[in-house]
Amino acid sequence: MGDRFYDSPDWRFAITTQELETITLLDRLASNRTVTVTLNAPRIHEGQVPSDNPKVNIPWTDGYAYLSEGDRFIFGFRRDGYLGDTWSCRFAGIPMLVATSAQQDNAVTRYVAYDPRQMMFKRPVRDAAGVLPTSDGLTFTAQTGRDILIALLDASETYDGPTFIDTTSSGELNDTDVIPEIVFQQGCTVGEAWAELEATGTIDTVLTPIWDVFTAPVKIVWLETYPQAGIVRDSVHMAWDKPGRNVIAIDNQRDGSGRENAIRYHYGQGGDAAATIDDVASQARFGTYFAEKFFPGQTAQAAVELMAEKALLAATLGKRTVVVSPSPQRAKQPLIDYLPGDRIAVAASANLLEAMDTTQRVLSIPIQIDDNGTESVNGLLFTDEGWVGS
Amino acid sequence: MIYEWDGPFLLTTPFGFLDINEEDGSGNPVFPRYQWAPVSCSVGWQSRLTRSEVPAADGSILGKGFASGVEAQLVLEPWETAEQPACGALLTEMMDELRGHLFALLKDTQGVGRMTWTPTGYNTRMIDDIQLGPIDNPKIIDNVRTQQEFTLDSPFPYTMQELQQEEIINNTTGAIGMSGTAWFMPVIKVYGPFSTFSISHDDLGVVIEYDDSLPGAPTIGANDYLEIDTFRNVATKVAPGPVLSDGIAGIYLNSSDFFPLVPGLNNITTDCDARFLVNQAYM
Repeated sequence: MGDRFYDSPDWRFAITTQELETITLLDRLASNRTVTVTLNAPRIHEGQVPSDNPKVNIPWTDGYAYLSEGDRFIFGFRRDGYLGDTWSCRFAGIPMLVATSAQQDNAVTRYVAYDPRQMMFKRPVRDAAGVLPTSDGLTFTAQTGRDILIALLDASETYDGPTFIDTTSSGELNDTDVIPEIVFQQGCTVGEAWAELEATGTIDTVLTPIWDVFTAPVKIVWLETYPQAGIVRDSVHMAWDKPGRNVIAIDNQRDGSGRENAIRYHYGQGGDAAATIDDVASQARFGTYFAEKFFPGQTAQAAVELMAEKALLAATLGKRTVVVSPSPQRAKQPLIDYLPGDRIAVAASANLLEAMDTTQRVLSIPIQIDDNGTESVNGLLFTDEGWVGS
Repeated sequence: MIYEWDGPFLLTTPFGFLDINEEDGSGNPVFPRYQWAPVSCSVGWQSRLTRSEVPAADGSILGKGFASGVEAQLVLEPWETAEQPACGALLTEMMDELRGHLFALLKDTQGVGRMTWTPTGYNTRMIDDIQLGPIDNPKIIDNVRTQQEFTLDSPFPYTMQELQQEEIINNTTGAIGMSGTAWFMPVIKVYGPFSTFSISHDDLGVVIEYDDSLPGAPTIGANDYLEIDTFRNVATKVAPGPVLSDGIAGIYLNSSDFFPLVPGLNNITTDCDARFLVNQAYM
């Protein structure tokens, strides 16, 4: 008979203190819920609740409402049986935006929660002794992106307070390539440094949500590192007007205005350029599209060269954006069958102008949960950046 | 739901009790009284499901289905005698009383609102926890009868037998029989003392688990009990007094489901003193 279409799993969201004490469940209350999982970016959850409901507006023992900005966690559980849990933890974060508005009789509160990576944009980089960078910046030499990131997070935890990120081997901390040298300037935040490490093309990171109430100190995500996150998912196939027919909507956009096939990056304030790198084949087809950029905050030539190589790989053919909305329950299940970083097959007939039969790398999975509890992916975003895995 | 409109009904509101189709002990009508306009009355629930179309092919994709809360669209008339609709001072008096009850249902914060009736051959049933929905202005029909049209809403998607039964399953496996037609969401009382418990619905394969070592979880002592409302998904510690405090912190979020009792036999296993408060429920 083959596989049945999957039954859209239920979601449950809970508000807890930052000591992991459950305050309230948002079951049968929250609406317009979304969870967005993006490669190398914070995981985001949004929702909406009636402001006058005692499940959210009663003051907790700290005097603040059950749903309160900044000093709570929101956990999202999905009933998919992953790793043996009936309800798998699929989101863990801090509500950082709580916006209430009233029209006549009704008041509605919209909230947005981010995983702890978002908070790292407000944490300064420090060395292992907790010292802030001087005007020379904080330099790491001949270390992997994984080790640099762990060092930054551990220093932040020690000197600036909980990060809620588990940097031990609980998660997958795969080794990554050595970065010859990278400098984080004075004023750089851990979040910015994190993004710079990923921009070198040597490391991808994943923060996996966890619900672990018995381990101290409190951690709500595991850090996982990869040379490149994701695998090829041969069993996942999305098709529009071709067998499978499991795609409701598809956008295929090619934009050459951002093409770059000759790249020259400068490092440091008024600094020299790293060697120009070219994609000869792209230049032969399209002509030369020259990009010159300056990185005054990055004084390490090696780091800038890595960034240039990654940028060339991504931009040499122009920007291709593929956005797909799979049919709920007909397509494979997000977060189980495919994750950000994975390569999956996307096909479309020539009725889409340009027939597609390619593999695309998943960049972002925006999951919407409607008020009937049906989960759908609305606008699965792919990146066409170069694939170096198997 | 409701298929007979000529028997007695009782509307309970924060304002008091309102008899409709009032009868004496021998089943004779007692006037003046309120009567339904049966052809204008209906009670039911709506179905909800997400439906999308198969892209570029025939067919539809259907999501899970749910039922909304019960909605009763009702029309009531005051009558002075069996032949004479209420008029004059009596009309004013009866309409004032009726609308007083309806307004009280609009403002009911205690959840006392209820409508009960007894179908022929069955036990008394109720629509529970009702609140006033849309209400019309009173109308004059045929120049003689006054009608009041209004809607009553309930959060529950079923009507219930008024009689509540307590089914005890104490550290054992037992069966709870449900003769109604609805998936009923019970209240479960778990009596202390305990540190942990597990209550499983063996047929549905779901469980509720509690552990007082979870952060913030209250200790349930010998004179306490934990009350679990499976419809509202809340858990409350009830200590002598009664003193109420939140118990949701002790529920395992990654394994627990607030489960229903379905029509037929429900095999339940507990490792605690669990008491299920059950009303037969009807769709």
